Amino acid sequence: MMLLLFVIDRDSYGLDATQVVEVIPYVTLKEVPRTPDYVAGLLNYRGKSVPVIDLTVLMTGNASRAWLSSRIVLVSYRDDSKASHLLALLAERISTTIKLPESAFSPSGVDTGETEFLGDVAVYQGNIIQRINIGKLLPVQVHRMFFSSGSETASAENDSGGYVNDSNNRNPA
Amino acid sequence: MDNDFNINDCWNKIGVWGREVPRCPELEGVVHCINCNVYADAGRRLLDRNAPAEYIGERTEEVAKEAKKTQERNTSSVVVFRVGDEWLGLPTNLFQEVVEFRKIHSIPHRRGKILRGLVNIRGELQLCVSLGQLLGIQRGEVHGNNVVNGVYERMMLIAKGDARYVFPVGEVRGILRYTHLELLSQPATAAHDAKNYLCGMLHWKEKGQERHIGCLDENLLFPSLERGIA
Repeated sequence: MMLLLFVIDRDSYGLDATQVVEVIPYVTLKEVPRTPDYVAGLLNYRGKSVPVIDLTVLMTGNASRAWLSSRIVLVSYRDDSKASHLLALLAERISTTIKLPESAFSPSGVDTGETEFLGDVAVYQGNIIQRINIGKLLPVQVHRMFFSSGSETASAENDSGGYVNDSNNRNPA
Repeated sequence: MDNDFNINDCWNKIGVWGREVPRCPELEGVVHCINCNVYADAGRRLLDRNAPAEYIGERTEEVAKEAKKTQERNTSSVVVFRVGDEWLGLPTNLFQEVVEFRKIHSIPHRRGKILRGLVNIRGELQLCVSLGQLLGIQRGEVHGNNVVNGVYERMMLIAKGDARYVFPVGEVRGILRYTHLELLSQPATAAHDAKNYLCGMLHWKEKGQERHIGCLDENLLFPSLERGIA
């Protein structure tokens, strides 16, 4: 499988490339008051408003820096009810994709109970890369905050397969 | 700007080929710095700098714009080249190779108009034909190499089935992709011999110059070349 890599602190994480819709540069976002810190704001993506999650805040509490290598990854996000939504993820040092066989991944062996979105791990060039489970990224109340008004934000062009659900099932979490 | 932003440019100190002593141990494996992870990582780190505000502003506008309409899918492409003063195109899939101009060895007792002789391409002798003769195109005013304008005489090797021909051209301009809607019919008044071999005309604008390109029909060209060299 192909992974889009990003770096938080010193560690590499990967996003399944089949779920990535587009990678765009770091842009100005509209802030949304009274939302959790890791909600970076709303992105005007081709005239549509898409919520942006700052993965750096989600993991470390610090915001992603406005670097040239910080990018926004648009992913198709499927929740438990199988509806597909467009979600944007902000992270630093997004500059590589790698290919790893599915067999390279093994369970991380760590389960904090709160970080369900952190999936299996694989070793690549001496570094441990952890896969992000996009389907588990949003806590229920945040999910309801963004997508409660039905599946209007669902992008029809990304409705092609059930791959997200497959990857969910593979994770023992 | 980041305070701890400094890159150890080891490749500037050790010599990229490792000819200097002491030799970088990494070079044993990767031969040249260009293959080395240290070099690649340093390149990526250039992006770990604050983006200028104008840059972010421009990108924000760009992302907010409506996505471009996808282009029509039913496209073909031709290689555009010049014979004499005429611009011609041939389907890209016919082309095996484009090489620099080289000597044509004439064949004794075979001096047709179309057949020019034999040409050595990668150790194989190929039949060299004159497209200008076949199409009735005069040599024209522009010929020879003109380095300043990027004009170089070339030889093109085309193949269809078992038939392979080389022909010299005055200049190769590149590959032009077009949709079938853009392929115009040729003017009915064209009095050129070439018009018998054309399947249509293309309009091409490049660097302010407008050109009409005659697209040759491979199904007419190859049989004629075969007859021409017989």
